[in-house]
Amino acid sequence: MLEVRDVVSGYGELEILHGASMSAGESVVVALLGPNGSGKSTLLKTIFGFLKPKRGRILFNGEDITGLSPETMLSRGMAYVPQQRTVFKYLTVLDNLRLGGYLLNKDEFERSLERIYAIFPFLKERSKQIASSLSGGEQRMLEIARALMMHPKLILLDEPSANLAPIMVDAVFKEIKKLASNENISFVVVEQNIAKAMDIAEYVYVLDMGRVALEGTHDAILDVPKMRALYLGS
Amino acid sequence: MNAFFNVLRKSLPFLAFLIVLPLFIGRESYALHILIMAFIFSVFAASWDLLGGYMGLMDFGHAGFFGIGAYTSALASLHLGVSPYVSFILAGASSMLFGLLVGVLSLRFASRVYFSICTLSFAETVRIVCRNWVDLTRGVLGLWGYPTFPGFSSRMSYYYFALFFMILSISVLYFLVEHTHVGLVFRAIKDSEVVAEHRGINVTIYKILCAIISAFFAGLAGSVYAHHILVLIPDDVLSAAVTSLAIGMVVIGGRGTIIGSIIGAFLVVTTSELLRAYAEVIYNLIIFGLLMTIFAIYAPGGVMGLVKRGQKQISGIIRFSQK
Amino acid sequence: MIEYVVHGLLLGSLYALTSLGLVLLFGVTKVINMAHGEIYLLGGYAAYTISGVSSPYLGLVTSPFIGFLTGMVIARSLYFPVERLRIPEADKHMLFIVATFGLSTLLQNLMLLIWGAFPVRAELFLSGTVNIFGITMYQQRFLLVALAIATIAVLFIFLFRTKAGLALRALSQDVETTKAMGVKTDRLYALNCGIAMSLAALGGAVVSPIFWLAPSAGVELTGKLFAIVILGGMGSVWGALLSSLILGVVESTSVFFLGQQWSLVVFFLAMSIVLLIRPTGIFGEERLV
Repeated sequence: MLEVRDVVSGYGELEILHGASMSAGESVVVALLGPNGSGKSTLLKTIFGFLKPKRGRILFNGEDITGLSPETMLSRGMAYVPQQRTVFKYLTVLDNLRLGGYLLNKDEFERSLERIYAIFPFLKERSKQIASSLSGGEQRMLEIARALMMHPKLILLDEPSANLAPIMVDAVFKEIKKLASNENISFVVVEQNIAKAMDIAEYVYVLDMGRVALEGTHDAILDVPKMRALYLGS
Repeated sequence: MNAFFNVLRKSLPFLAFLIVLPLFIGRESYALHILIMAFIFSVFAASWDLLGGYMGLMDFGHAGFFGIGAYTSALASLHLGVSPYVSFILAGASSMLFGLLVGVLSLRFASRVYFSICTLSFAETVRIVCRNWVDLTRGVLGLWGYPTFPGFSSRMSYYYFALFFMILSISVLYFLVEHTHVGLVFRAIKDSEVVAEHRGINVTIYKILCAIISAFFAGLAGSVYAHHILVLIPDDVLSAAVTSLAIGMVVIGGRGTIIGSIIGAFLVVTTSELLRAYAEVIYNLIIFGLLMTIFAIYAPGGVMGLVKRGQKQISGIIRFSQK
Repeated sequence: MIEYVVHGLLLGSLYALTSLGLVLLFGVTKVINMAHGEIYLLGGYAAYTISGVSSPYLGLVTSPFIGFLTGMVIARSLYFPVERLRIPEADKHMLFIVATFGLSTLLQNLMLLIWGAFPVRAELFLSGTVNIFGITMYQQRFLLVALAIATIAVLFIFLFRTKAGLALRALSQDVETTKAMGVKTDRLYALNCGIAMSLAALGGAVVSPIFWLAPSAGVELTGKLFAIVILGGMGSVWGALLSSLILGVVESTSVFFLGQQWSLVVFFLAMSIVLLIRPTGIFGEERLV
C-alpha cells in the first residue's frame, strides 16, 4: 500500500534522510526503529507531506503522492499523529473529534463518530469533558481516535509511547494491534521503546544515519543478536 | 573605525552642500526652516531606528519622548530661569527617565507586543496630560515666551546649530550601533533573543538601555524643536501623527541603518513641502500613510534596501557583460 | 452611586463589543492591530453619513458589512503577503504591527479629508427615557447597549456552534495541528479578520449617536482598548468581556471625580498596575475562550 523509494529529505539545507526506502502492506503494523537523529520522524513527516523530499518517490495505493500537501494525504486515506501531545487541551473530547472529522459532511461525521464510540467507549462517556482532564494514555487514544475519524487506511504514529506511564503504553499498543486486525488499518510506528514496538510489529525497519540499516520480519529481526539484546534489554 | 570614517567620507559632499547652502538662498528663507525640521527629524527618526531597526522593538509612542523633551526644555528655561543649554540637557535627562519607566514596565516580557502597546498608551497619556494641565503647559493655547539658544537667534545661525546637532547625534548613534560592544549586543538580541540569553546576556537590561538611549536623543531633538518653533502645542509634538512621521521616515529610508533615517527624513520633509504647492496637506499625509504601509510590507529594506538591490543588479549586469 | 455603576456597565458593554475584535485578531493570529480605533471610527462615520441620508437603522446594519469588507481587504493585502515570507515569526509580527500603524495614519487622514476635523455626531433616533430596575436611562442608550449584548451573544453562538468557530478556537490553541486536520487556514484567517473589523465598525456605529466622532480620537480609543485587553489577558475573550465591564465602571466613577478628559490616563494607570503585578492579565493568553 505504501512504498517509499530512496527518499532524500531534510530541513532546509540540512539533509537528514540520505536515501531511505521502505514499504507497508495492508492491515500490518510496521515499526521504524533507530537511534536519535537517524531520521525516523523526518521520514514520517516527509511521507505525510510536511516536508518535501529532495529526491525519491513515495507511492500510496499505486499513486505517486511525493510532496503533496497534508490535506491531500488526509483525503487519500492517510493520517498522522505527531510525537508531541496534540490534543486541543481546552476543547472538549467531542470538539477534538469534530476537528478530526472537519472535512466530512454531517452524515459522514455522524457515522464516523458512532464507529469511534464503538471502538473507544470511554470517549463517549467523556465526550463533554475538556481534553486536558484525560490521562496521558487516554489523550493518546483520543489522538488516534481523532485520526480515525477520516477512515484512514494508513496511520503514521510518531513515538506513541512518549511521556506515558508503562501501563498506558501497554493499553495504547494493545489498541493499535486491535485496530490493525479488526479495522484493516495499517500502522507505521516510530518508536524508541524497542520491546513494545516489536511486540506488535510484523515488519521492522531499523534506521541509522538517514538510511535503512536493517530490515526484516519480526522473527528475522529477533535472530540478529544485537537486536535481540536490545529487545531483551529495554 | 575605518568603516566609520568611510561613511563620513562618503557623506562629505552632501554635508558640504548643506553647509554652503544658506549662503545662496538667503538668511531668513523658508527653505532654511524646512531643512532645520529635516535635521531635527533625522535625529528623531534615527533614535526610533535604534529601537525599531537594531533591537526589533516597535515604539509607537516615540512622540512621547519627543514631546517630553520639548516641554521640559521650554518649561525649564521659562520657569526655572536656566539657560536653554542647561534645559537642553534636562530635556534629554527627563526623556531618559520616562524611557526607563516605560522600559521597566513593558520590556520585562519575552513578548515584544507589550512594549508597542505601552508606548502607544504612554504617548497618548502624556498628550492628554499636556492638553489638560493647563496651569503648567497652557494646553492647546500654546506655550510660548521661553528663550531660544543664546547666540543663535537668527534663522541662519539656528540652521548651523541644528546641522551641527544632527551631525553630532547621528555620528554618536552610528558609532554606538556599529562600533561598540553595546551595539553588537543589540544586534545579537535582535537576531535571536534565545541565543543571546544562553550566552549569558541579560537581555532585559540591554532592551531597557536601548530604550533609554533612544528616548534621550528623542528628547534632545524635542528640545531643539522647541527652541526653534518657540510655541509648543500638545498635538504638534505628542500626537500619533508625530510618531508616525518618525516610523514612516525610517521605514521608507531603510530600517536598521542609521543613515536610512536621514534619507527618509529628508525625503519626507522635502517632498511633502514640494507637494504642498500642488495639493493640500491632507493628501500628503494620505500618501505618506499609504507609502509607509506599502513599504512596510513590500519593501522592508526601504530606499536603502532598494538601492542596495539595484547596486547588486547593476554590478551583476556589469560582470555579465564583461565575460 | 448606583447610577455610576450602571452607566459604567453600559459603557463597559460598548467597550466589550469594540475590544472583542482586537482579542479575536490577536487570539487567533497573534497580530496586534494598531488601526482598530480607526476602523471603529470608520464604522461610526459610515453610520453617521448613512443615517444622515436615510434611516439610522440602515446605518447600523451597513456599518458591520463595511467593516467586514475592510477586514477582508486588510487580510489579503497586508496579512497574506507577509505570511508567505520566509522570515521568523517574530519578524512577521513586527512587520504587521508597523503596517497596521501605517494603516492607522492612512485612515486617520482619509477620514479627515472626507469628514473634516470637527467632531460630528449622528442624530439621536429614539427620544425619551426608559425605566429599568428603577434606573432611568435614555432609550437610545438602552437600545444600543442591547444591540451590543446581542452581538456578543451571536459571536458566542458562532464560536461554539459552527464549524468555522470551532476551527478558530482550535487555531488559537495550536496552528500546526489545526492545519493537520485539513483546515484551510488562509480562508479562516481572512474570515477572522473580517469578523474582527466588523465588530469594531459596529462598535463605532452603535456609539455614533451618543459620543462625538473625530479622526484624532482613534488613537486614544486604541490605547484604551489595549488597556482593556491587557487587563483581561491578551488572547482571552472572557478576559476582554470582564475587564471591559470593570474598566467601564472605573471610567464611569472616575469621570465623576476627575472629568471625562482624564479617562485614558486612568486606563493607562490601570494597565501599568496590571503589567507590574500580573502581566498575563486575569485570564492569561493561552486560549480564546
